[in-house]
Amino acid sequence: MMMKLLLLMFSLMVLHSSAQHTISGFVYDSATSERVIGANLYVTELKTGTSTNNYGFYAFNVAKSDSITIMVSFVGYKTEVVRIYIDKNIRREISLSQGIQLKEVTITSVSTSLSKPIISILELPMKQIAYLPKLAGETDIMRVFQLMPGVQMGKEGTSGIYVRGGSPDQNLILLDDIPMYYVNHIGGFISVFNPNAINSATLYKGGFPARYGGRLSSILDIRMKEGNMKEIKGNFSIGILSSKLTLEFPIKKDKTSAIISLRRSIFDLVTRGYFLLLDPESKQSAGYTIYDLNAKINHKISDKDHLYFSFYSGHDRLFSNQRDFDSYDNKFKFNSKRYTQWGNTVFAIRWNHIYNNRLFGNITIGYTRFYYNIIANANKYVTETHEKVGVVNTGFNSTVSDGITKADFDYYPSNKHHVKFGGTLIYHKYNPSSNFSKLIDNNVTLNDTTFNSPTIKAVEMSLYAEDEFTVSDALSMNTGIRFTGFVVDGKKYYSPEPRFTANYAISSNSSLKASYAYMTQPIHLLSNSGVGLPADLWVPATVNIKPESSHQIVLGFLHRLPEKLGLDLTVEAFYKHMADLIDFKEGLSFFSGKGDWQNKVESGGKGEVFGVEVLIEKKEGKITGWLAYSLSRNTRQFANINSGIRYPYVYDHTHDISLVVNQYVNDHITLSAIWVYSTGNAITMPTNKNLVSAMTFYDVGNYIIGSYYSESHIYPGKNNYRMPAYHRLDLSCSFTRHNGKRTKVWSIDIYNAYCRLNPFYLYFDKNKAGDIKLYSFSLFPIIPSFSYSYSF
Amino acid sequence: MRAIHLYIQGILCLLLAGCSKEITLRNSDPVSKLVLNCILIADEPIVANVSHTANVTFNESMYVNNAIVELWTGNTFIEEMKYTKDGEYTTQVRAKEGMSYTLKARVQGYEQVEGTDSVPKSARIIDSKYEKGDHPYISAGELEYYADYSIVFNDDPKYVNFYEVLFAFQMKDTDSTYFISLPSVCRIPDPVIDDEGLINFFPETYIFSDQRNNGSGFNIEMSFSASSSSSFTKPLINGNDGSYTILRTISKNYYVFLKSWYIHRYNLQLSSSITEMIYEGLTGNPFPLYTNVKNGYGIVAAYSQTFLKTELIDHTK
Repeated sequence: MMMKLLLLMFSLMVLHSSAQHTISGFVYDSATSERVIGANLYVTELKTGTSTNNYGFYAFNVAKSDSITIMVSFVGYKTEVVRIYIDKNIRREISLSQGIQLKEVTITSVSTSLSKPIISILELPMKQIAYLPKLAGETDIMRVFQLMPGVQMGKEGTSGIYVRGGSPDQNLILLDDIPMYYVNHIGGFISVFNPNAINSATLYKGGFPARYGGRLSSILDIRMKEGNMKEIKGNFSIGILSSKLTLEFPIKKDKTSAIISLRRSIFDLVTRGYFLLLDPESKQSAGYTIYDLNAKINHKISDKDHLYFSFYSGHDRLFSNQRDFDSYDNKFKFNSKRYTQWGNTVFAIRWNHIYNNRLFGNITIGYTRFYYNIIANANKYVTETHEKVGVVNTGFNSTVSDGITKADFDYYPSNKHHVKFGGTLIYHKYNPSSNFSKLIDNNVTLNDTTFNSPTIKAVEMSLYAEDEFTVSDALSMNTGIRFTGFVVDGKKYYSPEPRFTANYAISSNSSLKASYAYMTQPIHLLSNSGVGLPADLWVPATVNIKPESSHQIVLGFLHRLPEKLGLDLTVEAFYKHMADLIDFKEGLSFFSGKGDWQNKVESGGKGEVFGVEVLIEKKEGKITGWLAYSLSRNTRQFANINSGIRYPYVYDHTHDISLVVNQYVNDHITLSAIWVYSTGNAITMPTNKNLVSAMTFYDVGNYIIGSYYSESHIYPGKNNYRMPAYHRLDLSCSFTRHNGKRTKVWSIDIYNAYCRLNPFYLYFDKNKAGDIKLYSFSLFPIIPSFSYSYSF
Repeated sequence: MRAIHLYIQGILCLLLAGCSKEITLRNSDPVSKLVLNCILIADEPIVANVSHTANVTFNESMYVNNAIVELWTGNTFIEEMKYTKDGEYTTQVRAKEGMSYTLKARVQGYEQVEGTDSVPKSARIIDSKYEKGDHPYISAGELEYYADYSIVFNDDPKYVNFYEVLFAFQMKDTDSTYFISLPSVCRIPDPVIDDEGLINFFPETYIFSDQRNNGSGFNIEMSFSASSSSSFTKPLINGNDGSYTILRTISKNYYVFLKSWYIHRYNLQLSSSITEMIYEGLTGNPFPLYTNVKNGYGIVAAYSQTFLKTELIDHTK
């Protein structure tokens, strides 16, 4: 029945469309010939608008022999007015010139949002975020998202995001359409996204269109730059944490371009130097290396065909090496290497094709892999002969990899309808853990074992169709449905996921919005801690553990305040119910307890989150910025955790406030300030203690004491205690010098300017008087930093 | 695991200027309850300990020295136990195998507490070995060997039994202290022990049920790389200096309690150092400790034990 209705609707749209001409094409950046994603196009005569899709494509239908005026605008660009006479289907490419970007900082596009059925979307203006205060000289898009309403940070200094009460695994993070699993460096200090290589970043926290799925709480759609089609451009920057080099250039002018961007940390260089400084003959070294390599080739095959190749590889490696250390009898020498490393590899090949003026398609083939390794390796040599006689090789390995094929189509049957449809097929391969141990001594293999948790292979598929249609001048909707399937070990999970968003324009300045979305997530993250370590393990739904699911309802109000104020107001209320969540059983972690991870988890958990979010933006003028406030409640419930009683989620923040202010002083100086406030995290804290009859060995300083009585703790409930509230002020001052095509930017930043000692964790200890007291450990009292960037 | 530590050390390098400050502990539960502890050991005089719960920051003695502690068996009152010191109450009555005992404690201002358990029957050790040289590994570049222990005994098929095994070295330290060492880092666990899921919590003793081998013979074999050692005010067994294998037949209460204790202890997250805190981030969430004491906390549980002296057989020499 559903299928027949869809076919009938589709036929009617086709019949209607045959009476019209179509104008279509791409919107380009005039300087680079890169396509502009999300540019707004408004036809004055028709009083209708649209925006370019993820590949910069747009299409309008107009009555025959009509003349129209199109106003094309996008943040950071001058508005372009294009007048076109239509007497047939027309292909028209539109170029936008970069404009007054330094004076604009905007995270939503209200003019578009007022008339379109979209809600809970946050877009980052990549060019502007460079002027926001940085932590240790690093601009990080994930940390900028943390300043948005409904987006919370976890632990201080980390770049993970918690969207509307969801956990980090519930964010689908797409880099050029390919999902990434773990997107943090250095335990979450910075994300893997090098801002120099990123073109756009859009976060959907609700009102999910049917084209997106696979996670419960958010979709973060990140698009890499395409590369300059006209001339060589570059950027070099250096900060405390890392150095970055980006080059973009035409391989064949206006036909093929490329971009390569490399970011590398400088810790290991410092630590290697430190060891050599201590001892020039040093036989040991240790350090920490991170790198990110982004590359993309963009090739225009014809007016109708376009090919992209995107590649990302990122890596963290903590290492310590020793060489030529002697055995106690000097008969042997040993070389050893120990390292912990993790990283992602992503690539995607995408082919755009314009089938006709109304039908645009994209085929993507991609691959993503995340791995986490702990390796210890030692080789034993005979001192005199240098003959290798022994090997010790032990380690732990965890990987998840996906092969992805997807097809997405945009169809423009009329100005009242914009249809998107497509499908995805993903082959997942999970190896949650593999331990191996090999020992060879005196050329005799003494031990050679591998313990694997079973590798799990699964297939995920989805089909979707959505229609953004205009019901009347005031009312527009986006309705869609996504069918998903997940097959693992012969078990099949199928789910239809209805999606709906409506927009009702009360006036030219105000609109009401509503949305409903049902989402499923066939993978889970087993999180050992809130610290954000990569040791958290990705595992799929299995025969015994169902996929997670959520229902989310959002109501919104959008209002553009009088022009002299230059303010936009967005208010959204949401309710989200999550089901079939998993967590470790009480007292267990991946590293404790026995057997396969499935024996260690509680499944069937429920989550409930609701709240109100307010966003006030000032987008234009010398002072810009925004105020974001969230009021929310976030709980979890498992049958066998906390005696089945509902408890607060660790990041249940009743209040979250972010204030961002940018002062454009002149063409050379930009000032910026950020103030954030958040309710403290919920933690499990013992309120009382008692003695029990249990033999134990206490580690007290440098000695051990033994006792037949031990102190134990009494916990009144899970996450029963609130850490002190979190707040801080960050300041930034950027000095810009333009010299022809060259631009130099010096940036001085102060993180936590008033030195608030925000708690990272709490602990009990004795003070100097011998009394036991509660202490708060803080990471970052105040961190000034400096960075320099040179563009040509 | 060392590599994880290494990773953690690296994280520490990033923590440029971390610092601590004292803060106020809010909302701590001020209601104090009695804590009754008594491990009933077959053929040993019964000793109970009474204390009270206290705020985590409480830094004084928690022992209760003015309690009335009664010993019962079924509905029969045996006697009131006598206070000695540090919350300890004793009687000359020795616990007997197969008997059930109830202890009741009351103190003015607290709710009366009580706990009951039965003393299980002991099992006989058939054989036990302590060897070195079969399982090599390399530590700090040197070839080392795990210490291998084994114990053989028969399970009584008439009962559901729970056991605890200790591989102990005991030596009289001073007139009033005993040096006791127990292997605590098990590298190759016996499948029966491994099934209990406690190895990664670094227990010093090994508990298991006869669920898997009810009524049959047990041959437990384990290899260890490290031990925990310290001085105790009481010996584990009444014997001369040396290595012993101790087999305890334990009550279900003791089994459940000890299982929860090892998990509870591992997840206490008491450290003040950032290194250990992050390391403890890899542990699980806090785990509630089992109690069978009505209206209070603590444990009343029982075991009977036998032991066998063992000599090290060193195959490396």
